[in-house]
Amino acid sequence: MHNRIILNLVVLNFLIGLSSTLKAASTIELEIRNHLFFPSTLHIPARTKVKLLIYNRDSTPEEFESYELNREKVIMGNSKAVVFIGPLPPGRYPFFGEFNPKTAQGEVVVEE
Amino acid sequence: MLLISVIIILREVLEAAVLISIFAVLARHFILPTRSLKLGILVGVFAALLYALNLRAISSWFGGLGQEVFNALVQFAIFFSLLLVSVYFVSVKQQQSLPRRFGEVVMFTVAVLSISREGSEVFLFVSGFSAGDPQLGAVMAGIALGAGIGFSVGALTYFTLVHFPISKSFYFLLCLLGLVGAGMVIQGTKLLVQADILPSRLPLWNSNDVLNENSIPGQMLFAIFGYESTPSSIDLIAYFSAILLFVSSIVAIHLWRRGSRGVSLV
Repeated sequence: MHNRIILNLVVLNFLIGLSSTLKAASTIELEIRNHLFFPSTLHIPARTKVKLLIYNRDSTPEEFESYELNREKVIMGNSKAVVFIGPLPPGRYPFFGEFNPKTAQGEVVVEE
Repeated sequence: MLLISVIIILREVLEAAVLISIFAVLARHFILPTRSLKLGILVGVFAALLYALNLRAISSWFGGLGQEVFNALVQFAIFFSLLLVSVYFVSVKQQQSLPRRFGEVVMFTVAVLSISREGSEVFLFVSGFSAGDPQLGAVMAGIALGAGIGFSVGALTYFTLVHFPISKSFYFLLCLLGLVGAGMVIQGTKLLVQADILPSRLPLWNSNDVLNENSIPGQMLFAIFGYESTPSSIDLIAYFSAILLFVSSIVAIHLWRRGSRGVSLV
């Protein structure tokens, strides 16, 4: 009984370890409200994968998009979405909301 | 708002427009009916609407990764369909045509998939405006303009390419299909990296000095051929695997058809 549990835990650990990098990606939260990004500037460390948790507080869909980051995802109204970014060399990476590009603008600042 | 609508629609329409016009050129030269293309466009628009209406549900699949998985699969399906279209037209050129129904089905499939993927964003964009919104007029005008420009580019592509004798332009057209297909694969790959299904890696180089992805030609190259100024090793592996698979398939169908023709002459 105990051996079975331990075996299951070991196998589970092995599988989880296979599918993830050395440490879990840290999470940053981003909000879309009134077709604006909050915060509009994000700071992340260089060469690190980061998980963006984007909450669309508007009732209309928005598309989080960035050529520099190579990311595009539609987030329906009153929904949240996960987008992974990085690893990236240091620099500034703008992003925008494709459906409201005049207002929904932001930047990811990658620093050492 | 007008300009924003124009740009949004144009970027979505451009890719499908170029693909469909290339098919139209091939169909014209080989005297094939274009009804599968026309039907594909119609069904594609409905599929785009269907996709947009169900995006909330689709996005929640696979623990929130449904959108990336679904879109990536569509991209890969377009690539394979383009490969099959090219194989079909090689067989036609070799005068040992695969069944015409096969050619029609794969062209139809490409039309439906590419339009539904791009077209859904148009529907989603419009859904953000309620019926009484004063900006709706400008949005609709922008959509009409953007679509018009996109169709014009398609028509321009068609009329430019169709004038060349098919003996000269055939392999050029196949190259275009291959490059567009490989572009689809790289876009699908990027979606899977975004969803952390494929590993992410640092970019290997940055060609923004040569051709900026944000510039107008850069955006057009991105939309049609999947141009990527900062590719990672994963992107490059995917891209060149696609090219290799595409070229191998063309070579294979050449050898196979020629081989069987040689046997029947004996």
